[in-house]
Amino acid sequence: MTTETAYQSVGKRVPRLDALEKVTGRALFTADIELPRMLVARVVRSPLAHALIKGIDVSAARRVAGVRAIVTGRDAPYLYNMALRDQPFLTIERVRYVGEPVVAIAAEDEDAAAEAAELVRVEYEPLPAVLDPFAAMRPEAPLIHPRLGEYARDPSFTPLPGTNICNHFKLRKGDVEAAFRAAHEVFEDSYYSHPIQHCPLEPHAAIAQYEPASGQLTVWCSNQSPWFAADDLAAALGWPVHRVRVVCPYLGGGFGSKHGLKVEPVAVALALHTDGRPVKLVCSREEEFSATVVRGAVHIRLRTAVTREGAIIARQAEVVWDTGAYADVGPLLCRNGSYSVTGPYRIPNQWIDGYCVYTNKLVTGAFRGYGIMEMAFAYESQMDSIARALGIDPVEMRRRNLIKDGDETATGEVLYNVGLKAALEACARAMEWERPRPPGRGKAIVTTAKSSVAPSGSAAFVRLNDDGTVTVMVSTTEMGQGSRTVMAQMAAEALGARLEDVQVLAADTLFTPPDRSTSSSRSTFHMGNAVVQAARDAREQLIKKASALLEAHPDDLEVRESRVFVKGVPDRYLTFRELAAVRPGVDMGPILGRGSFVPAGARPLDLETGQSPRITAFWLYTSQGVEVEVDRETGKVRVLRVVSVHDAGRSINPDACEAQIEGGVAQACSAALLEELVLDEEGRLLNPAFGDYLLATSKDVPPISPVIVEVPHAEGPYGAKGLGEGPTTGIAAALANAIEDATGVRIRELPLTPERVLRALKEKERSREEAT
Amino acid sequence: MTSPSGRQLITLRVDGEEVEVTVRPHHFLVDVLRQQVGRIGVKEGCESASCGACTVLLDGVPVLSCLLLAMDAVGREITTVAGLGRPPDGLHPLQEAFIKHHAVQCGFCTPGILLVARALLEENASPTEEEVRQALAGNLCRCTGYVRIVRAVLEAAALQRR
Repeated sequence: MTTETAYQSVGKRVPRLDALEKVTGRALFTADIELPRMLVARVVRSPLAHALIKGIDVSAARRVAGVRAIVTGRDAPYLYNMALRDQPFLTIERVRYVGEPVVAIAAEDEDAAAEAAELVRVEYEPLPAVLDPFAAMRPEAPLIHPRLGEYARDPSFTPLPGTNICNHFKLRKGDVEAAFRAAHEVFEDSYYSHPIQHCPLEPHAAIAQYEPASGQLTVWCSNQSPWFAADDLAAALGWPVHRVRVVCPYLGGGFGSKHGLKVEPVAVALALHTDGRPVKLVCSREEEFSATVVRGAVHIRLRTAVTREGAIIARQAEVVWDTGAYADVGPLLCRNGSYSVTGPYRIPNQWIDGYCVYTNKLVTGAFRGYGIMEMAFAYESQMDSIARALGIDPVEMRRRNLIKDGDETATGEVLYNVGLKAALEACARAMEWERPRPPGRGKAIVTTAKSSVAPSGSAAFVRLNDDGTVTVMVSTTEMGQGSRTVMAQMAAEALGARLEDVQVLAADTLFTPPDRSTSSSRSTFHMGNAVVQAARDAREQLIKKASALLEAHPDDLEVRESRVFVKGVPDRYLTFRELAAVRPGVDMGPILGRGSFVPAGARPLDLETGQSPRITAFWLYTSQGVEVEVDRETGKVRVLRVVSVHDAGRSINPDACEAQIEGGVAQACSAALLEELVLDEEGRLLNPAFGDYLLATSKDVPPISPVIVEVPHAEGPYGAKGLGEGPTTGIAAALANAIEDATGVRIRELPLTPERVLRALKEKERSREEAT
Repeated sequence: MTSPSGRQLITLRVDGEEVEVTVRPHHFLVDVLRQQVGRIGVKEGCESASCGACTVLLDGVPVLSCLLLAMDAVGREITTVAGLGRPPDGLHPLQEAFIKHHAVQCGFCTPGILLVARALLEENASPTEEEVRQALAGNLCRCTGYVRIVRAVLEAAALQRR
């Protein structure tokens, strides 16, 4: 369901601009880049979760023919991570998780690097490892970062030095105690969301080259957010950022795992010691699983007060985020996730505590959905429990509580252009909600909301080349989501160019202007706005020039199909080619449009109350429905179908939107039903391979119906908003709810494996027998 | 001919061309194709024969080049995605269908999937959806949920039958 428009490019199902390169295997990814004199890297990693390093012996490794550089943390003693500068390029005196880089080697070829890595000897003094976040929060717990209070950091969160808590998020709103006293009923439940990995098909990769004569560092990398990476590297090194160039070719998937520095610091540490020779570091799949980032476990406790009619009047929540050995995005994830545990509902009284807790485990990074799948698993599971207890239809229960235009969120923001109800009703229709289900089957419908990161800016150039073709210069990276195609569509539309005349550059901080990140579903909205502005700026210049050459008033001109026409006179026009070149008689140089965008009025949250007039440029509104069948003998959940409804504001390219929805739903089904990282008691990952870590294959993905609703956003480019993360948010909760609908069994821990479902079924059976 | 470092000169037949390469006995085909034959369309995603990104056809049959020693491919016909069709014209119907159906996102799994699909269609000109899903079960895709990939393979089959 998308609106028909008078637009030429926007809203059209145009093929992806990168499709031809990709179906012919010519699209360039980081690991495909070969540079003259390039060395290859290997990393020696910690086998222990927590230990002091007593000594490192690389003498035998150095003697391997072809080895050119060996570095330890002391050779590049820098700390990175924008939010909280707690992570060394390679560890210095202490290892904090199994897989942490300890020594890096650069050699002429893989064989030499691998042989040298085998010969490195590291002596450790083991320390007690803290693997459980609740244990890590106890006062007597060993400290993973004794210097927590000394790290440079973003001031928008609250670390507690002397503990393992790197952010305590607080939200205080209304009078919670009074509301609980006045409630008809109070529901209290705990939920657990399990650790998983992103599994981009392309493992993390980076090539670093440092030229001592010019002082220039260049990093080609599979990174979602080139400016974020460049700024962070420059800050860590203490250099001006123009000496750090970050180039991002195509990414083979990211899903959050490639936001922020990951393998780049190790490659840079080596490159500082290779006398100008570039160094390539490509993760193995085992390293991808055990030494990049994961989506960490989250423990959620919810207390919710309701009236007899099902209005939610208060919520108290405690959310514990297991962030692993380093902060990465953890403190921000804890903040954004915890304030979202309200769900897309109007709740006047709230008391939320979020704790981001260090443990000696794999580092938690951003994951598509940024905490909302975890939060929604809790709040949408509880929503169904409440509806069931009150005897209210689950969809009706949501209708009664959904935020609508003019309502206030948990953080005190008043919302408009809210597509929640539209999404919920579309989902209920597509799921044929009112229709009775056959025995043994269960259905569920959930609604979720996710904010995007704010305040965050994006800038763009739209350049008219001498032959009238158009180059869009943005730092948004193409990782599969289709950004190059939609940026080209928006640029073509705003400029009046033919889509085939528009090219979008790969991100390169030497040329493409600053942009916060390709994350948080933000690019279509933020970068889209910058691109539209830049294209309109270039259009103004075209019109001015055409006005002089055509001797017509600018108001009498129109731009379409890469030409400027005198309105109503089809044969009086100039092509972009004719206008781009310098023309005698018109004193205008080459045409370059600029655009720069930041959402107006966005402010950080108050640290004591979690309140702000505006915390995000837009919200992603989602409603998802599932129908399942549960095998009572095996506990296996068969998903019969999924309906996934998204308020896109306006869909710039419906094919791209639907493809995002399908992929996100598949990822969420895989996460909820199959995937789980399993660690042993020493903190070692037991399943760092696709053979042991189950990922949905072509045989596992259920039929998916993507549905787009359009409630145009007042500030969105052509009304558009982001969409990419929405499809991952509600599925886990929907599946748990549908399982209860089918079997009467409520499961509050993920994943929903056959073993867990079967155990729950048996327990229910047993308690029923005991009761009789 | 073996050098003191264990390196040998061998000849591979790749996409119809004879190519001389230098390998050690333990070198896998994927690395040799990528580094010495310029076939960057052969992707490396797991180095343990479990993701399918490195799929090539060996005498027409899909194999995982991350577990195949380069020396064992001597005398065989190796087909990579570069041998499937060449841009801008002369694309294989599978490639056309993948473009049309938006069956590509990040593109990392795409070459391997195209080759498996080609082998399937050579063997079975009219596969059912179930058969397509079965054939692709060894090729992981993290972006698409396989929806459009399956749709594109079915359409390519129909196009080829015409």
